[in-house]
Amino acid sequence: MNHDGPTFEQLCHAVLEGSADESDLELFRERLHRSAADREAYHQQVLIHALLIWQNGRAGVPESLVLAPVDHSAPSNLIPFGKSFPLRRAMLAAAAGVALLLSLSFWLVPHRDQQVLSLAPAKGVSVDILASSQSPYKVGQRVVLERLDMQTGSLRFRISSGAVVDFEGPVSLEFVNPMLLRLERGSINTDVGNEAKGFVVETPSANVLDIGTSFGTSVCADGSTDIAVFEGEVQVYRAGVPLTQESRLASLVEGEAARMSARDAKLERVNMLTLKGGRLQVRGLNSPDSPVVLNVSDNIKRANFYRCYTVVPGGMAEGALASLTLNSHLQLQWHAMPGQVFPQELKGADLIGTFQSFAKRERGEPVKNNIRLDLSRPCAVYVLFDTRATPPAWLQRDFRDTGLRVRSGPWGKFAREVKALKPDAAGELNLTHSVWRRDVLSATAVTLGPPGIPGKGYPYAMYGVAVKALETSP
Amino acid sequence: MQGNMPETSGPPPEFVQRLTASQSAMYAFIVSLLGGANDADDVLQETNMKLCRRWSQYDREQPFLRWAYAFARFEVMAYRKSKQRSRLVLDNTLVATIAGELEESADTADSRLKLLEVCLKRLNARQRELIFARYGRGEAVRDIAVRLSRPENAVAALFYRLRKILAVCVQSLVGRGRMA
Repeated sequence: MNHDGPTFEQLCHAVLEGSADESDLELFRERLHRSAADREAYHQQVLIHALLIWQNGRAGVPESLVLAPVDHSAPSNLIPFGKSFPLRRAMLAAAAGVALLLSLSFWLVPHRDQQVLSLAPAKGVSVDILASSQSPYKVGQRVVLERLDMQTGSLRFRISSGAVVDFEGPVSLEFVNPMLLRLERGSINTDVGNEAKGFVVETPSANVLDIGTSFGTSVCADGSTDIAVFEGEVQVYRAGVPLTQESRLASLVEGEAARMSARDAKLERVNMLTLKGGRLQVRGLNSPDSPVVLNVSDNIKRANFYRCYTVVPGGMAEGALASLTLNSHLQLQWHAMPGQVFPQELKGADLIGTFQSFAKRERGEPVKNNIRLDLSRPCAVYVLFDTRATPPAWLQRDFRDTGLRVRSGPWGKFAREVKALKPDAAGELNLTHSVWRRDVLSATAVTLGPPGIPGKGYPYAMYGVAVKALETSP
Repeated sequence: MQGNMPETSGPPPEFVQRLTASQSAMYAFIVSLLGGANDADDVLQETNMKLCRRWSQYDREQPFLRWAYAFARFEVMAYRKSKQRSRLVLDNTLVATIAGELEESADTADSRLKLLEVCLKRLNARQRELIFARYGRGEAVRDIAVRLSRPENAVAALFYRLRKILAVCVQSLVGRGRMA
């Protein structure tokens, strides 16, 4: 609160967060009595606050609201209950009926009967629907699921253990218990936060044990499993083995991705991961690939090295994610220069996320790593280069400086790359990047060299990459 | 739903569907009258129980939410009475004023959650991540501020603005009467 007394904005925040003291509350009430505009502002704030809590399943929805899906007629894109369909459907219908009956009986009898409800055996796992598109479930609904098969559409739900799962079809999932999901097909994103550490995603080829994180899991057509970590850490095991320290194949941290091969149960690095825009999420199997970037790879050969490049088709824009790797717990993003709009030329380009360790020195020597882009059509390749560094020969030779500038940030204050940098007016550390362009006139492979100059240290940022298809005349 | 059937037979599926579809709006109504989300789920549960006991009194020709709000308002008042020794955010006059203002917009209230989804998509990635951190992962504003190395007041102001942006967006979509 400030010296002139708290503003309405501050009072409202304290009220919604439950941190207002008695004098704050008195002031708050006085403002609401006096001003219709303040009441309107309060309406706005509290409405969105409540809906966001509800949408994200943080409201303690009464257990008695456990209802079967409202739409009992299975839509064409949904096969409700799996392989042994008639028997399982009958069982689930019975379970849903019991849940419905229990819920209604709860309404109609005194509260003391709550015990009866809690003693009833629940089949499946209770989930709160947080977002839904082309699915039979409604946002805000709580449903009990044993199995879920969706060809199209998308769903986000919170399992009773606290894990939030997000996917777009096609997906086949079995809800074994609140801490174990079996993914048979498709891609899911899981965010266990702090509430569901120990959550396991089981696939035909791997077990992924989450120890407090956000990660994506995809089961490919051949049964192999791709695992990508967006935050925190997961441990990877072969399918069918007990989850012990001895049987653990690898621990993956944010910015790393690996594939468990179904053929030989070996874990290998995934070079490139295509993400959906906006949030950090692996895409569904039906989502379109980048129309331009076929593959991104490099020449790094190191054991237990799982860093991956990310591709977000059409994802370059203000606020776009620059790298999967966290930087002092911050996510690096691309931004326009202060007071400017984001360069139109870059907007909508396929964004390739790189990682800072590409630029690290090894045994005191600067790295000689290369990135290879396999491109499917004529396109412009952009390299976003830290303006504090000297552009290397390959960049000066093959690319031209467009004169455009963008920023990466916010950087953590302890990052080596921003040691000598002073915070900007907003108190943030941002770096300026020059935008270099090379036009590629046919489908081909393009090699990008190391960011540093041999013999010199490299306390600068790794470059970013974007690719945009060239307009071709018909 | 006319009162032909005895109440003890339980509410019909149509009533349960309406009740389920109205949960987010009823929750928002209750949170507004309580001045925060603390105990709002308990009050909602009590309201749901009352509604289901009185389902036969509901006239299906009337807006469901207006009918339900009356029960919710009663339960809020009962809750306030039981908590008289605790600190209450609003006084009785304000509860009545705010309830009256909210009842005016009851006809469109149950569409707002869906519209909020649309509006969330219009935020940029950074704004969505902030919203997800606060409401999805349940991080406290103070923790988010520490993580971003920014003053808590600045982050609180940011959330105020984000909620305002979303409220204006939802309101404009309600006004247009269509999904964007």
